[in-house]
Amino acid sequence: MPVDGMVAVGAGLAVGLAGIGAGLGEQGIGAAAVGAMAEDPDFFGRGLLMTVIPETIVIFGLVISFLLMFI
Amino acid sequence: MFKPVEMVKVSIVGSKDNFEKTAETLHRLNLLHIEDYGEESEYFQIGQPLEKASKASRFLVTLRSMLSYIKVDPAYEPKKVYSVGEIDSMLEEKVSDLESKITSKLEEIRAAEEELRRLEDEKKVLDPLKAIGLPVDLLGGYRNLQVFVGYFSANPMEKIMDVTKEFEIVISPYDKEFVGAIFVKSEFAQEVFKVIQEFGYREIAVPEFEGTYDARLQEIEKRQEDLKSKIESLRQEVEKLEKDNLDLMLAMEEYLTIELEKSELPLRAAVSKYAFVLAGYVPKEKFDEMKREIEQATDGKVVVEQLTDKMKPPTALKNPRFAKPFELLTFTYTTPKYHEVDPTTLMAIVFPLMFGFMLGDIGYGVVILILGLWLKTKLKTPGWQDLLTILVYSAISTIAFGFIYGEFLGFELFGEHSVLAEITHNEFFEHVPHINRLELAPAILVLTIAIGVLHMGIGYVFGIMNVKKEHGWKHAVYEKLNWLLALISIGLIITGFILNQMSGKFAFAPNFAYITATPLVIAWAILTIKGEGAMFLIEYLTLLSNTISYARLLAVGLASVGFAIAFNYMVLEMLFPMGIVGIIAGIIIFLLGHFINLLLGILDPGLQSLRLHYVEHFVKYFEGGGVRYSPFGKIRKFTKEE
Repeated sequence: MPVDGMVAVGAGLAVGLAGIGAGLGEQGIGAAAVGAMAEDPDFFGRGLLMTVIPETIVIFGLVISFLLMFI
Repeated sequence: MFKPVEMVKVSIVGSKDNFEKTAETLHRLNLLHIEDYGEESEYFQIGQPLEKASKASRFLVTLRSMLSYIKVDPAYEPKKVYSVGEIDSMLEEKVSDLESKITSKLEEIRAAEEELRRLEDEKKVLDPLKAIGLPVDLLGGYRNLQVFVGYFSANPMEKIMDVTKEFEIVISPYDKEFVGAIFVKSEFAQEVFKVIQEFGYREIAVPEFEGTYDARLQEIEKRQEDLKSKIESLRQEVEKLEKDNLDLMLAMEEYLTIELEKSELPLRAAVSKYAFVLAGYVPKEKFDEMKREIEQATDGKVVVEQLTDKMKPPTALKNPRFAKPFELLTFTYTTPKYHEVDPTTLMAIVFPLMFGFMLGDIGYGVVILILGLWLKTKLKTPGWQDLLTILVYSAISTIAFGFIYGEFLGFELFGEHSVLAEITHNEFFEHVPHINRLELAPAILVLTIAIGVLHMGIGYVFGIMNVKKEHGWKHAVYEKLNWLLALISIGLIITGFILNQMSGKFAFAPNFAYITATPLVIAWAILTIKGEGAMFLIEYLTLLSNTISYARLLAVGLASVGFAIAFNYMVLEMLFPMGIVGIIAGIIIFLLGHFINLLLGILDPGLQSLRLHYVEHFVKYFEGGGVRYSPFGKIRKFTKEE
């Protein structure tokens, strides 16, 4: 499957930038979740849930890069 | 399996003089989840603890404070189990005996620690005092003079001159500040104090001793050594004493805890002048046993009745043995409500499958399996045992998927030019059926989306069951069925998209999948607008992102394969040809790289699999917020009943 150079760069940007975005999103939530967990350990489940919500954005980036690379 | 244990509400009514026997029996049976009596009325009040409660709690405080001194491993197994009668007969004597032995030593330790602290404080002021340069006996003890000894931020001499000339000051720089002593006539003391406060004066408490500062310092250090060794030896004595009596102490602690619980039972009951009422929940199948036991113990003077009104029964999860450890993950999220579908069993099947799907490597699977089994013999607390059992299941699934993918530490096992085929020159290995993840990634991507639609679909089916049970069919259709339709339509739209891509058509050219999806989208939109409001139409995008989120099943796997292949390439192709140094470096990098990848391989698939359950799957139906079934009673470990 021939992949043009710029397409590969685009795919890389899609995953990389999405990763940075998700990281920025998670830093605040993660800090708050750890704080809440320190107050009440029962918060662990919900804290984890909240923290990983922005992560889906990376998956979007990944899917886009797949579409670019393979289709 | 998907339902918690069925409960019945019971009331236990009897005359007060039978209360103790009832409490005894209930505690032994360990069945009744008591509903605390809250409101007080003209006839019924919350009861008073039985008389023996205060004594039990007094002993318990003593014992626990002694036990807190040594750390007892929660998984500790007693060598001797005492009988209740034994404990009862020697309790008082033994507790006071232990107390006199241990408490006196603990007090000595405390006193020594106190002196140690005081000496440490004194040590801290010796150095600055020495810097002033006056012997310690000149720094205090005057009749007509007030001495201010302490730190100053600057030299206050000139300002003091404004107040009085009759003073003496000795001051020298010390650690970015000044330290000094001011001698002033008592009548000016007040005003001088005001002045020096402006110079950031902080007092130094001058210790009382004779001789030079250096001699005192040596003296203190020697004393500290002595105290430390004294504390250490006392500690050892206490620890030895407690270790020798550990079984007895734990047995007494357990006995007293149980006695206290029993004698505090009236606090949870409604009590009138002559009678008591206890209300609570019991598993349905145990009701007859409890009724029989209580009525037997009290000659039928206490009546156990089943009540028909269902309030809010507690949840006791009922799952097959293999799924039990996964209850830990369910409870971490929240406790299911009594009427809700219990997700544990489904999770027990899907979680390891997802884990294996992501990691899928024979080598890593075997290492994790061995690690998990080894840790299971080391970490005995229930929480760890559950977690490690989950890890072992996941490892087995990882090995199974490793065979499907034909991967071993990142090497390809099967297929042309694969490791096994090259080494053995056996054609058999070239033709072992397997799925190469890297080559078939687009197909696996589609598969993960399908898994997502199925997984969330099951969630919505559970959701329909939950809502129907609590609010009826109408709500189930408006709140859950519409979203199930939306989910199916998303699945169809993605299918249509892929079909068009594969046949090279325009992405949104009509095909059968799009056409089938249209009525579903319309039905979803109508139901949603009627049921929840037009605002909720936006949630369609959330659902779409949930669906795509399952692509992580592929992504995490590819990342771990990529790591492994990169390390293998570095070692085999780049380092090994460099000769003996290269081989040594190669082995180190190989071990280190795969170790890191293995750690990531446990953490990441575990967390991602958990996340897919918590965020994508559970929110479709699992509200939680139930009360956990915790029966009145205790499983004895250090004591036994005759």
